[in-house]
Amino acid sequence: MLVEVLEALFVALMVPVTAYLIRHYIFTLAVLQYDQRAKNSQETKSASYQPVVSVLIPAHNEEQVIDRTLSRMAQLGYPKNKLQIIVIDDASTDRTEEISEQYAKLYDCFEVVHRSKEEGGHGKASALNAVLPKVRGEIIVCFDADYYPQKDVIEKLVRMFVDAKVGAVQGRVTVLNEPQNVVTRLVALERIGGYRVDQQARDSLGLIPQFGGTADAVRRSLLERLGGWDESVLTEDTELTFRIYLAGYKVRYVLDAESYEEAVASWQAYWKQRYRWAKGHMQVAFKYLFKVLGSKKLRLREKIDGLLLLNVYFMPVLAVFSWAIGVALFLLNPSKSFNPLWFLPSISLYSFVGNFAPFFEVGIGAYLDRRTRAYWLIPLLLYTFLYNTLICTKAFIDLLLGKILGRSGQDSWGKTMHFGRMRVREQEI
Amino acid sequence: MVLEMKCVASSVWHSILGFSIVVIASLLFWFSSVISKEFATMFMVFNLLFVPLTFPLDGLLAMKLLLLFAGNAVGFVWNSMLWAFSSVMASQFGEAFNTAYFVLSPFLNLVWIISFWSVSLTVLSKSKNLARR
Repeated sequence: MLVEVLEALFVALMVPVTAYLIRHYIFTLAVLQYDQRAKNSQETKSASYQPVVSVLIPAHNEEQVIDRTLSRMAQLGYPKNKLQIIVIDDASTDRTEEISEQYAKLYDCFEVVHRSKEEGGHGKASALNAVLPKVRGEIIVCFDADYYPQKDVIEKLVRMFVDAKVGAVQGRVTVLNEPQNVVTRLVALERIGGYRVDQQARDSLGLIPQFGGTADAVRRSLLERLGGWDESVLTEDTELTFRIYLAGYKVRYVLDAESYEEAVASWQAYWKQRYRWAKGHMQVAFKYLFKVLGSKKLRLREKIDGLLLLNVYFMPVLAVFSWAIGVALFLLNPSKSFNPLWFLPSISLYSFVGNFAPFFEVGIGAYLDRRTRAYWLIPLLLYTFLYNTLICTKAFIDLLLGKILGRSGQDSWGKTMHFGRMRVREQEI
Repeated sequence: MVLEMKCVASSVWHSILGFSIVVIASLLFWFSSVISKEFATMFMVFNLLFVPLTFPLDGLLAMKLLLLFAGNAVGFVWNSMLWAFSSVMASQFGEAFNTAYFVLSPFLNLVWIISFWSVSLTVLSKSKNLARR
């Protein structure tokens, strides 16, 4: 009886695993087809649309990178009389405020908002909400303090807002410090899978591209109507994505609006960052699962994609669970013939990384980017995949324990440290 | 426009041909009395991953077919060695080794499947760049 129950459970767990693999294969094929079309087509560019834009840069102890970022902001090609750049010094104890003030003295479009120890240090959403009343722009663009965008990134992001139904726009994120070590190289591969294929496919197929919280733009009027950023979850960006869709608006993705980030460079920093993403994403899943399914403003395809997107960080937990059941089945009944489904958990373990891009999505992304040498690292993604299963399982257990023990309120917001070790070769960007 | 349609048509044609070969080969493997079910499953996993991920890409059909056959050959050698190794180890360590082997064998197969696919992407990209020159 126990064996039969376990077998049924094993097969049932393979259903979502297979659904995700099919979903990502469809994404991969869609992007290959999109790329074929894009080769010979000229995209219409609405260059004439130039609203006032406010750029928000929250910074908490970012003296190592803030100068590079602000110097780039000063070089942006967008008309300066239509640009407001607000640096939010979120209770920094280093030279972040001093460096930012130097830029505010040099350029009229720069402003620095200082938050004291009592006000600040409560996370990005809190810092962004604090400056919302000071924002003048119709469009709000956000960058993390380590970001280095293309000079024309604002134009590329803003032109999508010509469509009144567009609530937010996400640009592409590429790793700046990729050659630093094996961790940064693997994170760069994850980013390729996530942004070159996953986000692009969701945009091309009319699904739900994810608002990433940085290198992105949002319509101010909509954001104010929605009540700003949600400070109660760890991933305010994913949360905002679903609020935008539930309000009847959509998020678009612009592949050629590229920004460069400093990726985490150690396994400890990777754990800390991904743990926050996993737990935050799970919080959003609990909050919006039924709202997404019951919404009348979402099309069926958006509901299906929303459902899969919300639950994506639960998949590594399911994979670990199915793996354990498979082993238990073997131990209980070793004489039983080999089950072909046993291959599925191992394939799925090659699929839990970054935005949960499977190995083939990463490979095809690298192929489309013509990153020939990056292919060689794809087999090494196994380590990241295994690491992610541990991270997501821990995040899931902690979240459940928090709910059972009645621990509410916002979890501590672990800031990712940036060191500014990579110099930017501007001629390449 | 004409070039674009030709590219899409050739990738579709390559994929259909690749799938046809793989489906026939998989059926032969599955119903063969010589090949074990575990071996047959591994070949099916490789072929069903390899064809849809390689044949829609730019490149010569002959090169893709060559890579497909090379992949199957590598898989055969890999699994033969694995089988020989596991037979010896099982006779030494018994049931404990069998359990470990059962848990790890799909992983071990995925290691070569994904590595071979990565190498194939490199080969296809190189031939694509050469053709462009």
